[in-house]
Amino acid sequence: MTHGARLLGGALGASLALMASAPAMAGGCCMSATATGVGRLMEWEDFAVGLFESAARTMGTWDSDGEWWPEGESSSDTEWTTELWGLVRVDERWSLLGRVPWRWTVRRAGDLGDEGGGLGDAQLGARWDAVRLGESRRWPGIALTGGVLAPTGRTTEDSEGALAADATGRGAWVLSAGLSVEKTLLPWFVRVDAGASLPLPQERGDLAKTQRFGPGGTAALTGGLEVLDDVLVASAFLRYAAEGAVTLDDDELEGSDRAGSGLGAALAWRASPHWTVQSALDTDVFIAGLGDNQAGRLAVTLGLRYGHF
Amino acid sequence: MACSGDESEQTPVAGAGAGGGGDDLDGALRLTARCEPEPPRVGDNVLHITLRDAEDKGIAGATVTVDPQMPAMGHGSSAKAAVQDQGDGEYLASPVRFQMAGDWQVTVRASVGGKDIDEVFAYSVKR
Repeated sequence: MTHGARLLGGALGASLALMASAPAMAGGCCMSATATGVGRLMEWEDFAVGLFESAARTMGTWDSDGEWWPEGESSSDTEWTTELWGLVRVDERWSLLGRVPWRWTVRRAGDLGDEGGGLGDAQLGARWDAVRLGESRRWPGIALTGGVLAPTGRTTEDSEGALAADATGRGAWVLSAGLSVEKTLLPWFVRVDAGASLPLPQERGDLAKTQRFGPGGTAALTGGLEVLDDVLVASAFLRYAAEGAVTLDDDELEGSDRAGSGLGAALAWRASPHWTVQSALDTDVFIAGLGDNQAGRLAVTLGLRYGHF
Repeated sequence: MACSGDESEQTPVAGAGAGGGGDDLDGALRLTARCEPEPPRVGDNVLHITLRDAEDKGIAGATVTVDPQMPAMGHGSSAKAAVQDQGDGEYLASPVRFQMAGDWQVTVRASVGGKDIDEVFAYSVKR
């Protein structure tokens, strides 16, 4: 993303990632745990680790009026991300999450070209299953999540690249919380996620001011189907995210709020009881009015997950 | 807030006082800017700046700085623009680098005779 296009940046990305920690679920306990994203632990797993490889291409930009401007011939922006993640069970309701991304961006603008990358913003989170899937016939699965995004990436201010391709983070600590509700009607499942994020103030050395990104909100609806019992899950999702205006020394910057919506599809293939292969296609909706003040991207992801039990 | 792209000369969206320091000459001075190309593109652009007094006389010899910022992304430009005094109140800033598309704000500050003025110009940068 452009690093800005890191899907409303790392801040909302963190929130969405935490919300996504309850993946689509076809069986009350099993396959949906690995259907999309990092997901969650299966009921019998002690921990899980995984690797994602993704490529995201910027397709254009929404301006602050919500107008969509497609990518021109003289510029391009592609970001490659490698992400290591892990989940560990604390007890039957609590689990912890860690994610460490490594980003590499190739950017071109007119006669200028630049590429670079490095460690992105790392994330730690926790999940509490208030109602575990399958625990109640009356209630859906309900989970609360919380987390923190650490500014371990390089900011544009610290970038050395001609087009800041080596910028990998926004430089702010971000707190986030989310709610995930999931219902299974075999072989179908549906899940609703909602989340909020609160970036903390950061110092802008180049401006000698205190900057604070606006609070964010996210929502996502995921539905899926266990195509082959205990082997293959297909899912699709809609998502929306918004972020309030940026402040500098408590002065709100007009026109700096952002929003974006997208959709996607994923396949998860459980190759063995321990190993799952994941794939996903995620795209913003490149239509005027369905985004605000950010780049629109198309992303493809492949993942490999190992669950230990 | 973004400029339309049809104007040859950009009107500031805010100004005077943000830079602090010295007397505020806003009202007595007029600071205008024109981006080349117009509308600006991702990459390197040139900003033509004009500094004039109340009688529309160009003021040369001012110290002029240019600071592009992308408010929604919370960062500035990846390059520092150099400003050349062209004489008769005309200044040329280059490169004004917008490393990504979207809405940018360029703060232009001018100091002369111990006094200063600053104006903010908004641009919608296209790819």
